[in-house]
Amino acid sequence: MRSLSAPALLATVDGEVVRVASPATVLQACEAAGAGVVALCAHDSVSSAGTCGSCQVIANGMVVRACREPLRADAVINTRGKAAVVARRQALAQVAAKHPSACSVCHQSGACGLQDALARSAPVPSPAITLNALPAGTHSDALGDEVVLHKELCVGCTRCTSFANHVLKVPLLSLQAEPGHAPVLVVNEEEKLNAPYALAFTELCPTGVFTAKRVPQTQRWTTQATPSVCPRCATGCPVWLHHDHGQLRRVSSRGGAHFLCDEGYRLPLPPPWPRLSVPVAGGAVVSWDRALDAASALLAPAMKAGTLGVVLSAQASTFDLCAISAFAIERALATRTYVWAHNDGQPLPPLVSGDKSANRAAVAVLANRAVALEQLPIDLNAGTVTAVLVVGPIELAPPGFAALVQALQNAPVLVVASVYEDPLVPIAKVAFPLAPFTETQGSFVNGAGHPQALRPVSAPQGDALPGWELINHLARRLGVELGFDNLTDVRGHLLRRHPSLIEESQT
Amino acid sequence: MAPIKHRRKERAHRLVLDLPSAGGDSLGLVLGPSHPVLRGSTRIVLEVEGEAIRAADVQVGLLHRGFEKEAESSPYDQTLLLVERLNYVSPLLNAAGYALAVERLLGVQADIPLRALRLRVIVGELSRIGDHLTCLGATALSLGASNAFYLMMDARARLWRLLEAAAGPRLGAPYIRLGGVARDLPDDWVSAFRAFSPGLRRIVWRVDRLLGENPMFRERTRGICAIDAATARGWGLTGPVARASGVACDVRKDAPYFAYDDYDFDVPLGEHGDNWDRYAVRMEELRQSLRIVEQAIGRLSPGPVLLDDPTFVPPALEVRQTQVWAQAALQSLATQGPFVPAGEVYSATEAANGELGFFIVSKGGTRPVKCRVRAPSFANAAMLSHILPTHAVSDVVPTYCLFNVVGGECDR
Amino acid sequence: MTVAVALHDWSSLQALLRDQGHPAVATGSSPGLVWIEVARGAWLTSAAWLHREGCATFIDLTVTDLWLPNTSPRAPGRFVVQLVLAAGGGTRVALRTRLRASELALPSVTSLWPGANWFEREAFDLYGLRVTEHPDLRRILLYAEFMGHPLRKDYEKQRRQPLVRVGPLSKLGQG
Repeated sequence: MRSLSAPALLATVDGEVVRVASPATVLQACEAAGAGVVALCAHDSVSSAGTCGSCQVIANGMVVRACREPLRADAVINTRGKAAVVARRQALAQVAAKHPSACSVCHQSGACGLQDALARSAPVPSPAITLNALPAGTHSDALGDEVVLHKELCVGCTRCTSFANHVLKVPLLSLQAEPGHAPVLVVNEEEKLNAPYALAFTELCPTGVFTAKRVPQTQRWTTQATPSVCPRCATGCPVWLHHDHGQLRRVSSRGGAHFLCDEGYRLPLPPPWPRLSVPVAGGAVVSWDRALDAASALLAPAMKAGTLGVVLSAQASTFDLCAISAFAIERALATRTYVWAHNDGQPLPPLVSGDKSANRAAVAVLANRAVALEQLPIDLNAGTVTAVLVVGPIELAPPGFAALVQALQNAPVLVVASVYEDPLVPIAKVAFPLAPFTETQGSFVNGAGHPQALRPVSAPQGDALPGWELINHLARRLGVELGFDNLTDVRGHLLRRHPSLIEESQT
Repeated sequence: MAPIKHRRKERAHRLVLDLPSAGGDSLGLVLGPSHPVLRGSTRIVLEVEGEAIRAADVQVGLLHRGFEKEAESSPYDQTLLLVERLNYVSPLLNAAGYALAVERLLGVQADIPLRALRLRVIVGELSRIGDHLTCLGATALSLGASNAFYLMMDARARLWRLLEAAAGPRLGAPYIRLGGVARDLPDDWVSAFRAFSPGLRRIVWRVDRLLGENPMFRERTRGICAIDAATARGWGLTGPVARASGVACDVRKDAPYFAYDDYDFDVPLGEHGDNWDRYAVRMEELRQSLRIVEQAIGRLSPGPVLLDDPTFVPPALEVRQTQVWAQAALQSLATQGPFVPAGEVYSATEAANGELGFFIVSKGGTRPVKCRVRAPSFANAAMLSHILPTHAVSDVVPTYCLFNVVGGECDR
Repeated sequence: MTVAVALHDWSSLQALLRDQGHPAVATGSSPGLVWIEVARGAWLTSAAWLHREGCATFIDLTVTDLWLPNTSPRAPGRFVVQLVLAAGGGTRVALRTRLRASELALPSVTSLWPGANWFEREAFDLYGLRVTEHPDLRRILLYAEFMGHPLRKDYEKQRRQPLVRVGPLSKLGQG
């Protein structure tokens, strides 16, 4: 992604000139040209296997397996030449012979590399196998509870075995062939998957041998994909959010490591709490106007007395943090700012960071004077803080959450802005509905310091608003003009002060 | 056609302000969109002085349904259904134009079976006849000649029964497919056509007598809204409207597709570009289209009507039942649509109202990056604003009818 | 057909543009179209050259947004403006220029082909192409209160528009 300075190779694919960062394979050049060559065994996360032959093309006059062939400068590639088409057909005929004809009942519902390959190649004669239903799936403890196995769908592409052996470094799966028979996928029950990467197999497998039990396989033609970033930890994996009428259905990898951890794949699952979609004040549903009035009436005395504490979340987007920081720190309206972050210190390689705060790096810049949340109960008891404003999504219940709820129960004034009806909402005097990362524009700065854009899949649900907008409204009621009337204002503010937090493509 | 003057004052004020005002005794007049001829799709705001039009603002967009945005997120084959709603008077011509564009993008236009091309020409030219009958009938009605209108509507009803027998439903028939047409003609279709065509010729002959020899019709059309050839070119006019101005343009002759160069037909040209010429050109095109259909039927040779290429044509049922790949290919086509390699194409066909162009850009995928439709009605409607001034209010409706602005195509 | 043959010889245009300081010219063809791509500053000069060379018939003017969701929306050459002309016969000639999102503006060609009027209004309406020196630049297919430009790739298909009061003549004062 950031290889702008890397040397580039020029290649001609079917008459189209493409530019690919060096080093590259012929397959990558074909993909860049949109030639529609389907590779079954090659996957960006595993070293190329070259076993299936479904990506054969003519490069500089020779039929080659595109996934294995290094791209040379000024290569001339022909994907539609007769020799390549015939070679692909023959290879696919062998692959298809191992696969049942069960497309109409298969739970992959079209998310199938083999199907794409067969549809894009001319016909190949194949034996007639007809299935009306797939046999019930078996699941193997070695792969965790969440993955169902349908071994009969395996075409022997070796993606999963090389992923297990070379990326996860666990000899979990192997393909065993008896003479005269197709190779069979064998699970080594002695081994256990050592990290939360079971669901990665569901994205890796081109034919649906591995299926997630809890995350439903949705019909992919009904969904649209929006590029975004996973909010689960400081790694900040780039993801595609597949959504259908504003409903998040499926998450897949968008570059980076080319797979995700299980937490990422589980993003579409329902959260532990229901959504908070309307403002609540004193236990009753009220309008935004009333809620803002109530909140400002509660917070103004503490602000004047210098006893206002603000809690910000390290899972909030940079734009929200910018508004909170402008309100609490730059204008010095809060006595103390606390950071709500969750760092359990257990990195689970290769992807999961120990830091569960997606935007920790931005907090470090925007709220460098903020203190850890552990300080809040002490300040509350000491009376230096009498009113607390909590802004930010709490996507999951972190450890120590119960203790915090307990401490905040003693706060004389508590105003909360939250995505969900979490345990803070009932004890708050006023609660505002907040838009989650899927419903607002924003950005996360990952642990490596790269800002990455979040794009909304829908408008905010119910009466929810993005955090920066809420802060702007609240500050205005409190007599402070932040001047953040739209995203451009927030963005301009950030660009002037912290340009490193803004991605170039952020609009 | 209620004069605005008697309505609320500020509206009339706004209206006049919006028009290039000639000052003096001008009056704002709004035609449509609820007007029997403008059919809810166009509003014409006129500034008139007495009977004379001083300025005209033709406003379209009331039927805007986002065709291009929809096409960018739909599979190529599903857009075929939407494309037929562009010009809903001759849907099959649109579908054939779009199918040809995608086939050119796929590089398979030379492989389409000849019988499929002949069938596309037959249903396409019949659609053109239907379109011209509608246009001319409406024009006759707008000038008070209701007998000609009834004759033509009767002919169109019979023609649509023929099209229905060949293609399926009367409107929005999913008949044209990528790679050919959906099915062959029914057995008795050709005899039904042979029974129909003399009747159509007779009706065209009778209408020509009824209108062409009617001094009132001639008075009301000759010299009205005349456009010279250079103006027609500069304004992007195509089709019968341009040909009435003497511009020799017909995509069927200039860049033959669907084997149009096999047929012997004439392209009628007008001299003055006035309403009379536009009427006369369309009348002659009725006869020429009938000629083409008769030749195409004569040249029908047995053979398949759909290309056998599973990358964009679903495999036949017998193949699907026995071959694994065919079931996979069918599901892939049904769920995602055909894959189109990277490339771009500008493909023009001669639709009933002029050049129907599709500009499609693919970056390699099942959805186009861009699917532009160059609609003939859009350019023709633009000309109306320019040509109406200096003419009488009573000429607006027949001129609009003869330009044949079809809302679905103009607004997309 | 002589006109069409002459058009394939772009050298006189190239020389003309070199003299004017816009040397970058690319030519090519795709099915149904011979195209020439010039720098933004050479738009009007090249259009006038084509007009002189016999492309008297205006066919189409449209914008293509080539933005892919994984890339920067400020990438150079994101928008391609294409003017399609006919030179007699079946030849279609296209003049193209590539623009950034921040400089999506071009001079109008209505002085050469008056028919470009509505097409430029459409490009303004649906893509936000700011056409300078246009006689009557206002929205054409959408209403004046419409927010954004719907055919841009970053305009989501499901995006909603604020409710506006639609008076019986609201399309009159648009612009």
